[in-house]
Amino acid sequence: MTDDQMDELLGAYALDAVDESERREIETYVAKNPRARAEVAEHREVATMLSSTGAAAPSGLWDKIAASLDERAPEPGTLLAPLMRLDTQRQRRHQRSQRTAWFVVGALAVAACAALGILGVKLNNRTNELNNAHSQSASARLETAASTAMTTATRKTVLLSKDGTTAANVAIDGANGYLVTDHLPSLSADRTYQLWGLIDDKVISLGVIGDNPKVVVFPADSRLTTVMLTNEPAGGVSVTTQTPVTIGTLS
Amino acid sequence: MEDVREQPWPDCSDAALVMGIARYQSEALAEAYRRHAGAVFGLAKRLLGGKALAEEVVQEVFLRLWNDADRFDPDRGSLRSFLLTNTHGRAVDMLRSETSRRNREDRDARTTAESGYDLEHEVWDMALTDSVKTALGTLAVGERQAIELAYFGGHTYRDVATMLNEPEGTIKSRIRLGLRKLRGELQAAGIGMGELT
Repeated sequence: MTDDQMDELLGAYALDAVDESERREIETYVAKNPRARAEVAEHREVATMLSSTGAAAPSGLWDKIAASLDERAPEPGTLLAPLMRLDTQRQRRHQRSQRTAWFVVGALAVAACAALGILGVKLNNRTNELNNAHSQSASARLETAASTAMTTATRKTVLLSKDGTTAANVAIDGANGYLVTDHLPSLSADRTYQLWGLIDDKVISLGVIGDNPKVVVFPADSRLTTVMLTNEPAGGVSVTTQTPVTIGTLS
Repeated sequence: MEDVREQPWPDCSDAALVMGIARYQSEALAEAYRRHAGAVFGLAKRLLGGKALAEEVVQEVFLRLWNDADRFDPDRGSLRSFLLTNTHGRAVDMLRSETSRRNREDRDARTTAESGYDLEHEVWDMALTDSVKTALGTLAVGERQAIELAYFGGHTYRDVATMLNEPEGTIKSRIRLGLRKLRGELQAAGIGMGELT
Protein backbone atom coordinates (compact mmCIF):
# COMPACT_ATOMS: atom_id res chain seq x y z
CA MET A 1 0.00 0.00 0.00
CA THR A 2 1.08 3.57 -0.61
CA ASP A 3 1.23 6.06 2.24
CA ASP A 4 -2.01 7.65 1.00
CA GLN A 5 -3.73 4.28 1.00
CA MET A 6 -2.41 3.68 4.50
CA ASP A 7 -3.70 7.03 5.66
CA GLU A 8 -7.11 6.31 4.21
CA LEU A 9 -7.30 3.18 6.35
CA LEU A 10 -6.30 4.80 9.66
CA GLY A 11 -9.90 5.27 10.78
CA ALA A 12 -10.81 1.67 10.06
CA TYR A 13 -7.56 0.51 11.67
CA ALA A 14 -8.33 2.48 14.83
CA LEU A 15 -11.66 0.66 15.05
CA ASP A 16 -10.07 -2.77 14.45
CA ALA A 17 -11.97 -2.90 11.17
CA VAL A 18 -9.15 -4.07 8.92
CA ASP A 19 -8.09 -7.61 8.18
CA GLU A 20 -4.99 -9.20 9.69
CA SER A 21 -2.58 -8.55 6.82
CA GLU A 22 -3.64 -4.90 6.58
CA ARG A 23 -3.33 -4.54 10.33
CA ARG A 24 0.29 -5.70 10.33
CA GLU A 25 1.16 -3.40 7.46
CA ILE A 26 -0.46 -0.38 9.08
CA GLU A 27 1.17 -1.12 12.44
CA THR A 28 4.57 -0.92 10.79
CA TYR A 29 3.57 2.32 9.08
CA VAL A 30 2.19 3.86 12.27
CA ALA A 31 5.23 2.87 14.31
CA LYS A 32 7.50 5.04 12.19
CA ASN A 33 5.05 7.84 11.42
CA PRO A 34 4.25 10.14 14.36
CA ARG A 35 1.50 11.94 12.46
CA ALA A 36 -0.29 8.70 11.67
CA ARG A 37 0.22 7.53 15.24
CA ALA A 38 -1.37 10.73 16.54
CA GLU A 39 -4.31 10.34 14.16
CA VAL A 40 -4.94 6.79 15.33
CA ALA A 41 -4.81 7.93 18.96
CA GLU A 42 -7.35 10.65 18.16
CA HIS A 43 -9.71 8.21 16.48
CA ARG A 44 -9.47 5.86 19.44
CA GLU A 45 -10.24 8.64 21.88
CA VAL A 46 -13.38 9.42 19.87
CA ALA A 47 -14.36 5.74 19.96
CA THR A 48 -13.82 5.87 23.72
CA MET A 49 -16.41 8.61 23.94
CA LEU A 50 -18.90 6.39 22.11
CA SER A 51 -18.29 3.67 24.67
CA SER A 52 -18.64 5.82 27.77
CA THR A 53 -22.17 4.96 28.76
CA GLY A 54 -21.85 4.75 32.52
CA ALA A 55 -22.72 1.06 32.55
CA ALA A 56 -21.73 -0.95 35.62
CA ALA A 57 -19.65 -4.09 35.67
CA PRO A 58 -21.32 -7.17 37.17
CA SER A 59 -20.92 -7.59 40.87
CA GLY A 60 -18.39 -10.19 41.90
CA LEU A 61 -16.24 -9.76 38.82
CA TRP A 62 -13.58 -7.84 40.70
CA ASP A 63 -13.25 -10.67 43.18
CA LYS A 64 -12.42 -13.03 40.32
CA ILE A 65 -9.77 -10.67 39.05
CA ALA A 66 -8.34 -10.08 42.52
CA ALA A 67 -8.07 -13.81 43.04
CA SER A 68 -6.01 -14.08 39.86
CA LEU A 69 -3.50 -11.41 40.74
CA ASP A 70 0.01 -12.51 41.12
CA GLU A 71 0.82 -10.64 44.31
CA ARG A 72 4.37 -9.91 43.35
CA ALA A 73 6.35 -7.68 45.63
CA PRO A 74 7.74 -4.54 44.06
CA GLU A 75 10.96 -5.40 42.36
CA PRO A 76 14.06 -4.04 44.06
CA GLY A 77 15.08 -0.72 42.69
CA THR A 78 12.69 2.10 42.02
CA LEU A 79 9.91 2.17 44.55
CA LEU A 80 6.85 4.29 44.91
CA ALA A 81 6.68 4.66 48.67
CA PRO A 82 3.54 2.88 49.87
CA LEU A 83 1.68 5.34 52.02
CA MET A 84 0.40 4.45 55.44
CA ARG A 85 -3.35 4.17 55.84
CA LEU A 86 -5.04 7.13 57.49
CA ASP A 87 -6.43 4.97 60.26
CA THR A 88 -8.73 2.09 61.05
CA GLN A 89 -11.63 1.76 63.46
CA ARG A 90 -9.32 -0.01 65.87
CA GLN A 91 -6.73 2.68 65.66
CA ARG A 92 -9.39 5.32 66.19
CA ARG A 93 -10.41 3.62 69.42
CA HIS A 94 -6.96 2.88 70.75
CA GLN A 95 -4.65 5.45 69.25
CA ARG A 96 -6.43 8.72 69.77
CA SER A 97 -3.17 10.36 70.56
CA GLN A 98 -2.01 9.52 67.07
CA ARG A 99 -5.07 10.97 65.36
CA THR A 100 -3.54 14.29 64.51
CA ALA A 101 -0.43 12.68 63.15
CA TRP A 102 -2.40 10.26 61.00
CA PHE A 103 -4.53 13.08 59.68
CA VAL A 104 -1.36 14.71 58.46
CA VAL A 105 -0.37 11.40 56.89
CA GLY A 106 -3.73 11.23 55.15
CA ALA A 107 -3.35 14.76 53.91
CA LEU A 108 0.08 13.89 52.65
CA ALA A 109 -1.30 10.85 50.90
CA VAL A 110 -3.87 12.96 49.10
CA ALA A 111 -1.21 15.52 48.28
CA ALA A 112 0.96 12.75 46.96
CA CYS A 113 -1.81 11.54 44.70
CA ALA A 114 -2.37 15.00 43.32
CA ALA A 115 1.34 15.49 43.02
CA LEU A 116 1.78 12.25 41.19
CA GLY A 117 -0.82 13.38 38.70
CA ILE A 118 1.16 16.55 38.21
CA LEU A 119 4.29 14.48 38.13
CA GLY A 120 2.81 12.49 35.28
CA VAL A 121 2.25 15.69 33.32
CA LYS A 122 5.71 16.98 34.12
CA LEU A 123 7.24 13.71 33.16
CA ASN A 124 5.30 13.65 29.93
CA ASN A 125 6.58 17.07 29.04
CA ARG A 126 10.10 16.04 29.84
CA THR A 127 9.69 12.88 27.86
CA ASN A 128 8.38 14.81 24.90
CA GLU A 129 11.33 17.11 25.05
CA LEU A 130 13.65 14.18 25.07
CA ASN A 131 11.62 12.60 22.28
CA ASN A 132 11.77 9.20 23.91
CA ALA A 133 8.34 9.03 25.43
CA HIS A 134 7.66 5.57 24.13
CA SER A 135 10.74 3.92 25.53
CA GLN A 136 10.61 5.02 29.14
CA SER A 137 8.90 2.79 31.64
CA ALA A 138 7.19 4.10 34.76
CA SER A 139 10.28 3.11 36.73
CA ALA A 140 12.56 4.93 34.35
CA ARG A 141 10.37 8.00 34.59
CA LEU A 142 10.68 7.99 38.36
CA GLU A 143 14.41 7.69 38.10
CA THR A 144 14.50 10.59 35.66
CA ALA A 145 12.36 12.72 37.96
CA ALA A 146 14.54 11.85 40.96
CA SER A 147 17.72 12.59 39.07
CA THR A 148 16.35 15.96 37.97
CA ALA A 149 15.28 16.80 41.51
CA MET A 150 18.72 15.94 42.88
CA THR A 151 20.18 18.47 40.47
CA THR A 152 17.64 21.28 40.56
CA ALA A 153 15.89 21.16 43.94
CA THR A 154 16.82 23.78 46.50
CA ARG A 155 15.82 21.73 49.54
CA LYS A 156 18.14 18.77 49.96
CA THR A 157 19.94 16.74 52.57
CA VAL A 158 22.46 13.95 52.74
CA LEU A 159 21.71 11.02 55.02
CA LEU A 160 24.95 9.72 56.51
CA SER A 161 25.65 6.28 57.92
CA LYS A 162 27.37 5.89 61.26
CA ASP A 163 30.68 5.33 59.50
CA GLY A 164 30.32 8.65 57.71
CA THR A 165 29.52 7.29 54.27
CA THR A 166 26.55 8.60 52.34
CA ALA A 167 23.55 6.34 52.90
CA ALA A 168 21.15 8.31 50.75
CA ASN A 169 20.42 11.68 49.22
CA VAL A 170 17.08 13.40 49.61
CA ALA A 171 15.68 16.23 47.53
CA ILE A 172 12.33 17.99 47.73
CA ASP A 173 10.78 19.17 44.47
CA GLY A 174 7.48 20.85 45.24
CA ALA A 175 5.04 18.31 46.64
CA ASN A 176 7.32 15.39 45.81
CA GLY A 177 10.29 14.20 47.76
CA TYR A 178 12.88 11.84 46.32
CA LEU A 179 15.27 9.57 48.14
CA VAL A 180 18.11 7.97 46.23
CA THR A 181 20.20 5.51 48.19
CA ASP A 182 23.95 5.32 47.92
CA HIS A 183 25.66 3.03 50.43
CA LEU A 184 22.57 1.97 52.31
CA PRO A 185 23.01 -1.70 53.26
CA SER A 186 20.21 -4.06 52.29
CA LEU A 187 18.22 -5.71 55.08
CA SER A 188 16.99 -9.24 55.53
CA ALA A 189 13.66 -10.09 53.89
CA ASP A 190 11.76 -9.86 57.17
CA ARG A 191 12.86 -6.25 57.73
CA THR A 192 12.18 -3.00 55.93
CA TYR A 193 13.42 0.53 55.90
CA GLN A 194 10.77 3.05 56.82
CA LEU A 195 11.03 6.71 55.89
CA TRP A 196 9.88 9.32 58.40
CA GLY A 197 9.54 13.06 58.34
CA LEU A 198 9.41 15.72 61.02
CA ILE A 199 6.51 18.12 60.44
CA ASP A 200 5.48 20.62 63.10
CA ASP A 201 7.40 18.60 65.69
CA LYS A 202 5.48 15.42 64.78
CA VAL A 203 7.13 12.35 63.36
CA ILE A 204 5.14 11.21 60.31
CA SER A 205 5.59 8.05 58.28
CA LEU A 206 6.40 8.92 54.68
CA GLY A 207 6.53 5.37 53.45
CA VAL A 208 7.57 1.78 54.00
CA ILE A 209 10.27 1.46 51.37
CA GLY A 210 11.45 -2.12 51.43
CA ASP A 211 14.62 -3.97 52.37
CA ASN A 212 16.78 -2.69 49.53
CA PRO A 213 15.40 0.61 48.21
CA LYS A 214 17.12 2.42 45.37
CA VAL A 215 14.92 5.32 44.30
CA VAL A 216 11.83 6.34 46.23
CA VAL A 217 9.29 9.09 45.72
CA PHE A 218 7.35 10.25 48.75
CA PRO A 219 4.85 12.98 49.63
CA ALA A 220 6.59 16.15 50.72
CA ASP A 221 5.31 19.18 52.52
CA SER A 222 6.72 22.67 52.92
CA ARG A 223 6.78 22.13 56.69
CA LEU A 224 8.96 19.06 56.38
CA THR A 225 12.26 19.87 58.08
CA THR A 226 13.92 16.54 58.80
CA VAL A 227 13.89 13.09 57.27
CA MET A 228 15.10 9.86 58.80
CA LEU A 229 15.21 6.15 58.12
CA THR A 230 14.47 3.41 60.61
CA ASN A 231 14.87 -0.36 60.43
CA GLU A 232 11.46 -1.96 61.10
CA PRO A 233 9.73 -5.33 60.74
CA ALA A 234 8.51 -6.02 57.18
CA GLY A 235 5.26 -4.18 56.58
CA GLY A 236 6.33 -1.22 58.66
CA VAL A 237 4.92 0.26 61.85
CA SER A 238 2.56 3.09 62.65
CA VAL A 239 4.73 4.45 65.45
CA THR A 240 8.44 3.78 65.60
CA THR A 241 10.45 3.04 68.72
CA GLN A 242 13.68 2.52 66.83
CA THR A 243 16.72 4.72 66.82
CA PRO A 244 17.05 6.16 63.30
CA VAL A 245 19.57 4.46 61.06
CA THR A 246 20.29 7.81 59.54
CA ILE A 247 18.85 11.28 59.76
CA GLY A 248 19.21 14.53 57.83
CA THR A 249 17.99 18.10 58.09
CA LEU A 250 16.74 19.70 54.91
CA SER A 251 18.53 22.79 53.72
CA MET B 1 -8.95 -7.80 48.95
CA GLU B 2 -9.22 -4.60 50.88
CA ASP B 3 -12.05 -2.17 50.34
CA VAL B 4 -10.70 0.34 47.86
CA ARG B 5 -12.72 3.12 49.46
CA GLU B 6 -10.34 3.02 52.40
CA GLN B 7 -7.31 3.67 50.24
CA PRO B 8 -5.84 7.00 49.19
CA TRP B 9 -6.01 5.93 45.52
CA PRO B 10 -9.52 7.30 44.84
CA ASP B 11 -8.01 10.78 44.84
CA CYS B 12 -5.26 9.89 42.41
CA SER B 13 -5.10 10.66 38.72
CA ASP B 14 -5.11 7.79 36.24
CA ALA B 15 -1.43 8.44 35.58
CA ALA B 16 -0.65 8.00 39.27
CA LEU B 17 -2.79 4.86 39.38
CA VAL B 18 -0.79 3.29 36.59
CA MET B 19 2.44 4.10 38.39
CA GLY B 20 1.03 2.27 41.41
CA ILE B 21 -0.08 -0.65 39.28
CA ALA B 22 3.38 -0.82 37.76
CA ARG B 23 4.64 -1.33 41.32
CA TYR B 24 2.12 -4.17 41.76
CA GLN B 25 -0.07 -2.28 44.21
CA SER B 26 -3.38 -4.09 43.94
CA GLU B 27 -5.33 -1.20 45.48
CA ALA B 28 -4.35 0.93 42.50
CA LEU B 29 -5.68 -1.70 40.13
CA ALA B 30 -8.88 -1.92 42.16
CA GLU B 31 -9.37 1.80 41.76
CA ALA B 32 -8.72 1.61 38.01
CA TYR B 33 -11.30 -1.16 37.89
CA ARG B 34 -13.81 0.92 39.84
CA ARG B 35 -13.38 3.80 37.41
CA HIS B 36 -13.35 1.98 34.10
CA ALA B 37 -14.69 -1.57 34.41
CA GLY B 38 -18.25 -0.48 33.64
CA ALA B 39 -17.25 0.99 30.28
CA VAL B 40 -15.00 -1.98 29.53
CA PHE B 41 -17.77 -4.44 30.32
CA GLY B 42 -20.35 -2.42 28.41
CA LEU B 43 -18.25 -2.37 25.26
CA ALA B 44 -17.36 -6.05 25.50
CA LYS B 45 -20.98 -7.03 26.05
CA ARG B 46 -22.12 -4.82 23.23
CA LEU B 47 -19.68 -6.54 20.87
CA LEU B 48 -19.97 -10.10 22.09
CA GLY B 49 -23.61 -10.13 23.04
CA GLY B 50 -23.16 -12.31 26.11
CA LYS B 51 -22.33 -11.59 29.72
CA ALA B 52 -20.00 -14.55 30.20
CA LEU B 53 -17.75 -13.69 27.26
CA ALA B 54 -17.80 -10.03 28.23
CA GLU B 55 -16.68 -10.87 31.76
CA GLU B 56 -13.87 -12.94 30.31
CA VAL B 57 -12.67 -9.95 28.31
CA VAL B 58 -12.88 -7.65 31.33
CA GLN B 59 -10.70 -10.04 33.32
CA GLU B 60 -8.17 -10.31 30.51
CA VAL B 61 -7.96 -6.56 30.04
CA PHE B 62 -7.37 -5.76 33.71
CA LEU B 63 -4.96 -8.64 34.25
CA ARG B 64 -3.01 -7.47 31.24
CA LEU B 65 -2.84 -3.99 32.76
CA TRP B 66 -1.62 -5.55 36.00
CA ASN B 67 1.07 -7.65 34.36
CA ASP B 68 2.21 -5.10 31.82
CA ALA B 69 1.36 -1.62 33.05
CA ASP B 70 4.28 -0.08 31.21
CA ARG B 71 2.44 -0.64 27.95
CA PHE B 72 0.23 2.30 28.87
CA ASP B 73 1.71 5.50 27.52
CA PRO B 74 -0.15 8.62 28.69
CA ASP B 75 1.14 10.48 25.64
CA ARG B 76 -0.98 8.24 23.44
CA GLY B 77 -4.26 8.87 25.22
CA SER B 78 -6.22 8.37 28.40
CA LEU B 79 -6.23 5.21 30.49
CA ARG B 80 -9.86 4.66 29.55
CA SER B 81 -9.03 4.86 25.87
CA PHE B 82 -6.15 2.43 26.41
CA LEU B 83 -8.39 -0.05 28.21
CA LEU B 84 -11.23 0.26 25.70
CA THR B 85 -8.84 -0.14 22.78
CA ASN B 86 -7.58 -3.36 24.35
CA THR B 87 -11.14 -4.43 25.06
CA HIS B 88 -12.26 -3.79 21.52
CA GLY B 89 -9.27 -5.58 20.02
CA ARG B 90 -9.74 -8.63 22.21
CA ALA B 91 -13.50 -8.77 21.67
CA VAL B 92 -13.07 -8.46 17.92
CA ASP B 93 -10.50 -11.27 18.00
CA MET B 94 -13.04 -13.44 19.77
CA LEU B 95 -15.77 -12.44 17.37
CA ARG B 96 -13.67 -13.37 14.40
CA SER B 97 -12.42 -16.64 15.79
CA GLU B 98 -13.62 -19.84 14.26
CA THR B 99 -15.56 -20.79 17.35
CA SER B 100 -17.54 -17.57 17.25
CA ARG B 101 -18.14 -17.55 13.53
CA ARG B 102 -21.41 -19.42 13.67
CA ASN B 103 -22.85 -17.20 16.38
CA ARG B 104 -21.76 -14.15 14.54
CA GLU B 105 -23.30 -15.28 11.29
CA ASP B 106 -26.51 -16.04 13.12
CA ARG B 107 -26.46 -12.65 14.68
CA ASP B 108 -25.73 -10.93 11.37
CA ALA B 109 -28.60 -12.75 9.74
CA ARG B 110 -30.92 -11.78 12.55
CA THR B 111 -29.73 -8.19 12.48
CA THR B 112 -30.32 -7.89 8.77
CA ALA B 113 -33.65 -9.69 8.82
CA GLU B 114 -35.08 -7.64 11.62
CA SER B 115 -33.63 -4.30 10.60
CA GLY B 116 -31.63 -4.67 13.77
CA TYR B 117 -29.22 -1.91 12.94
CA ASP B 118 -31.79 0.81 13.43
CA LEU B 119 -33.16 -0.80 16.56
CA GLU B 120 -29.73 -1.41 18.10
CA HIS B 121 -28.44 2.02 17.50
CA GLU B 122 -31.54 3.55 18.99
CA VAL B 123 -31.09 1.45 22.11
CA TRP B 124 -27.44 2.40 22.22
CA ASP B 125 -28.39 6.03 21.82
CA MET B 126 -30.32 5.88 25.06
CA ALA B 127 -27.14 5.08 26.93
CA LEU B 128 -25.01 7.81 25.42
CA THR B 129 -24.52 11.18 26.95
CA ASP B 130 -26.42 14.04 25.36
CA SER B 131 -23.26 15.61 24.00
CA VAL B 132 -22.19 12.42 22.26
CA LYS B 133 -25.69 11.92 20.90
CA THR B 134 -25.68 15.44 19.54
CA ALA B 135 -22.31 14.91 17.91
CA LEU B 136 -23.45 11.65 16.34
CA GLY B 137 -26.50 13.46 15.02
CA THR B 138 -24.31 15.71 12.93
CA LEU B 139 -22.95 12.78 10.92
CA ALA B 140 -24.42 11.75 7.61
CA VAL B 141 -26.43 8.55 7.94
CA GLY B 142 -23.85 6.63 5.92
CA GLU B 143 -21.01 7.81 8.13
CA ARG B 144 -22.82 6.85 11.28
CA GLN B 145 -23.77 3.45 9.94
CA ALA B 146 -20.21 2.73 8.84
CA ILE B 147 -18.76 3.67 12.23
CA GLU B 148 -21.34 1.79 14.26
CA LEU B 149 -21.16 -1.37 12.18
CA ALA B 150 -17.36 -1.33 12.27
CA TYR B 151 -16.92 -0.41 15.92
CA PHE B 152 -19.89 -1.94 17.67
CA GLY B 153 -20.51 -4.69 15.15
CA GLY B 154 -16.87 -5.73 15.05
CA HIS B 155 -17.00 -5.90 11.24
CA THR B 156 -14.14 -5.11 8.88
CA TYR B 157 -14.66 -2.22 6.52
CA ARG B 158 -14.95 -4.80 3.74
CA ASP B 159 -17.80 -6.52 5.57
CA VAL B 160 -19.44 -3.16 6.13
CA ALA B 161 -19.13 -2.33 2.44
CA THR B 162 -20.86 -5.58 1.58
CA MET B 163 -23.57 -5.07 4.18
CA LEU B 164 -24.32 -1.55 2.99
CA ASN B 165 -23.75 -2.36 -0.68
CA GLU B 166 -21.20 0.40 -1.04
CA PRO B 167 -17.65 0.47 -2.49
CA GLU B 168 -14.90 -0.34 0.03
CA GLY B 169 -13.22 3.00 -0.60
CA THR B 170 -16.41 4.80 0.33
CA ILE B 171 -16.64 2.98 3.64
CA LYS B 172 -12.98 3.67 4.49
CA SER B 173 -13.54 7.35 3.85
CA ARG B 174 -16.80 7.48 5.76
CA ILE B 175 -15.21 5.93 8.84
CA ARG B 176 -12.24 8.24 8.81
CA LEU B 177 -14.14 11.41 8.03
CA GLY B 178 -16.92 10.48 10.42
CA LEU B 179 -14.47 10.05 13.29
CA ARG B 180 -12.86 13.38 12.46
CA LYS B 181 -16.23 15.09 12.40
CA LEU B 182 -17.17 13.54 15.72
CA ARG B 183 -13.97 14.76 17.28
CA GLY B 184 -14.56 18.25 15.97
CA GLU B 185 -18.14 18.30 17.20
CA LEU B 186 -17.20 17.06 20.66
CA GLN B 187 -14.43 19.61 20.96
CA ALA B 188 -16.77 22.36 19.78
CA ALA B 189 -19.14 21.26 22.54
CA GLY B 190 -16.30 21.81 24.99
CA ILE B 191 -15.58 18.16 25.62
CA GLY B 192 -11.91 17.32 25.65
CA MET B 193 -10.82 13.86 24.72
CA GLY B 194 -10.66 11.55 27.68
CA GLU B 195 -13.01 13.64 29.81
CA LEU B 196 -15.84 11.14 29.90
CA THR B 197 -15.23 8.75 32.74
